[in-house]
Amino acid sequence: MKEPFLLLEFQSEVEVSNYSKSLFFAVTQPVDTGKTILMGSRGDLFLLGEFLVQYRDTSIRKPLVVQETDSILFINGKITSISLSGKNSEIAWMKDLLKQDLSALQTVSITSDTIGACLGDLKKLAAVRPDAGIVFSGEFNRLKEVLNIFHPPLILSPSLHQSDYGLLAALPQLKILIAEAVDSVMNEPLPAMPSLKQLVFTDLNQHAVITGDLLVNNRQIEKIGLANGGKLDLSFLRSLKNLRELVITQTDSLLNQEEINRHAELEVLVLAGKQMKIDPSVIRLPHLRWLAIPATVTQDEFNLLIKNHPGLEVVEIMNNDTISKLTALSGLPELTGLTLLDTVTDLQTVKTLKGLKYLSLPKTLLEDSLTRVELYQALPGTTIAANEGFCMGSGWLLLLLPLVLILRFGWRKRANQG
Amino acid sequence: MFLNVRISSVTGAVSCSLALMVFSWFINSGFPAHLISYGALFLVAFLMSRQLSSWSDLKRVTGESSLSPKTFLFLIFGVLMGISMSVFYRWHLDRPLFMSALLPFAITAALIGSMEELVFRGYLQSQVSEKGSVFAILFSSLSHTGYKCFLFLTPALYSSVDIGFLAFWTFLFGLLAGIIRHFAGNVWPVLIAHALFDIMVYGENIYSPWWVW
Repeated sequence: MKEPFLLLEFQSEVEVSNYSKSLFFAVTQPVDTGKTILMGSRGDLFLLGEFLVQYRDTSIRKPLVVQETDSILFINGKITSISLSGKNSEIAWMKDLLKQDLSALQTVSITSDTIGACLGDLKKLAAVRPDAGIVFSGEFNRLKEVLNIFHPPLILSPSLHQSDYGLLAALPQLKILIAEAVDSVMNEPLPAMPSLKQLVFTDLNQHAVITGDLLVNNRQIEKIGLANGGKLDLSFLRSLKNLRELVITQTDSLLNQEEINRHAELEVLVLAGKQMKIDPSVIRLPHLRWLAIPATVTQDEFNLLIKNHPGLEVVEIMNNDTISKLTALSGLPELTGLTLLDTVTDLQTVKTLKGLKYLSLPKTLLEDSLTRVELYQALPGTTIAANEGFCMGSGWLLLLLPLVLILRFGWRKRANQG
Repeated sequence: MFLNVRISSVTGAVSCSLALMVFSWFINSGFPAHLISYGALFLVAFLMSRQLSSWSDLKRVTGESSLSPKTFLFLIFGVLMGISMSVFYRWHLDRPLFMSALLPFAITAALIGSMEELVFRGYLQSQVSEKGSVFAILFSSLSHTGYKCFLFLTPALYSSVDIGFLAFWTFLFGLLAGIIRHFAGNVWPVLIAHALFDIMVYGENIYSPWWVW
């Protein structure tokens, strides 16, 4: 069952980005003071300032109110993320914290110093929320003591060596792993992590060589994110059986691009990078719903990509100077989200996309009041117009009047005949 | 035979309200769930038509005292209410306070707003008025709020419209409209207020908002 792409509103003063769908490549600026709207789906990770949280509860149909102190992130009044710096002043603070409602706590950020200074308090926190995710700013192998007391479903760590794979093997509950793969040669398969669904390698070595068997013990992975690679050979994706999201950013070139097509269930394909060259004729994904296009794609290549994927719901064109005509987008009946992060030369086509619910345009374009007014007129119900359905419901209610009259006169006629 | 079963006004009104919520829940669904909404709308039309044995019965919908002198004053109030609410809502949306153009969609917008008033403050409020004016006002406002919220709560839309905001202000507007309808003795002031609001908020749109059709 596919997860719907939703419009999410964060009431927050900090910058917000959908980390899962962009790996920090695109940060959404607030559309209004303290309000940021962007698209995402259940399970996506969002960066809210320095904090990392996951969007889980799609039943919440109201803005996510974000409040932040130096150490705590609140969402809708609930503690969602904590950052521990290891200062002595935190000891009393931690005691107070443990008395609060931590039912919504998702992640705990810790440093190498924190482990040393606050292990006792971390144990108390782990007793309350052993399933809190860990965001760590030290070497992965320093997490050993923490992993003895927490059973995190999410780990973000800057430095993962192949020598740390033994630690990973002891994490059967791990669902999301975000790590900087520091080894230039990754020739050992990752250990089996049966619950792992999302794997992100950030800051890939420019000359990284990845073995084709890297994921052979983790065929169940559904989401892959790769950032900052040089030449990236996609052969290692072959092991995966259920890949749904592939996000590759700031990578110069992709080898064996046809591997992408092996994953017919792919719904999200984000390719972003100033140098990245792709061959659109190779990419044909019948279930593709979210597509981000790199800077080097030409007009013809863009038209072909769009034509080959009529089920697209979200299209992102980032830092692309060559695509000047967007008329191909008119052939996407399901299109609900559009991001254009560069000079927009075809606003006319944008105005005809009446099914859009989300439109992200360059800030400079929206600062022109005439353009804003034109967009409001042409695209009611998008984030630009930000309509909320007040005082106007469904137009089909107008059928009620003729129906009443027909039934009324039909009734009378029947009554008279009776 | 069931066509001749007697249904009390209140029962009919409750049934109409529930049917309208079913209608708004399914109207944006794909086929065949979409058909349920038409069935619900048909039920509403059926229940309403049962109450109309003659043209004079239309007064149950529009109100008994359409031509009374105080109607004129309430009409002015309705116009001011529509304008001021639209200005406030446009300010809330961070848009220019007044519309810059009047396009054909304004007619559709006015008709939709008018129909909602005829149904909720006209028909439903009058149907339950035998239970007291306070009950009638609350009932019509709750019905209207339920109808609007179900339109955006339906999973078919995957909408992230702020339901809390929508529910609160729709209910508040409904209370105010119901009170005006009660004291005016007819539905015309609130109908004009609602139609004017929709014209001023949506009338410069080239296309209808995505939830309308």
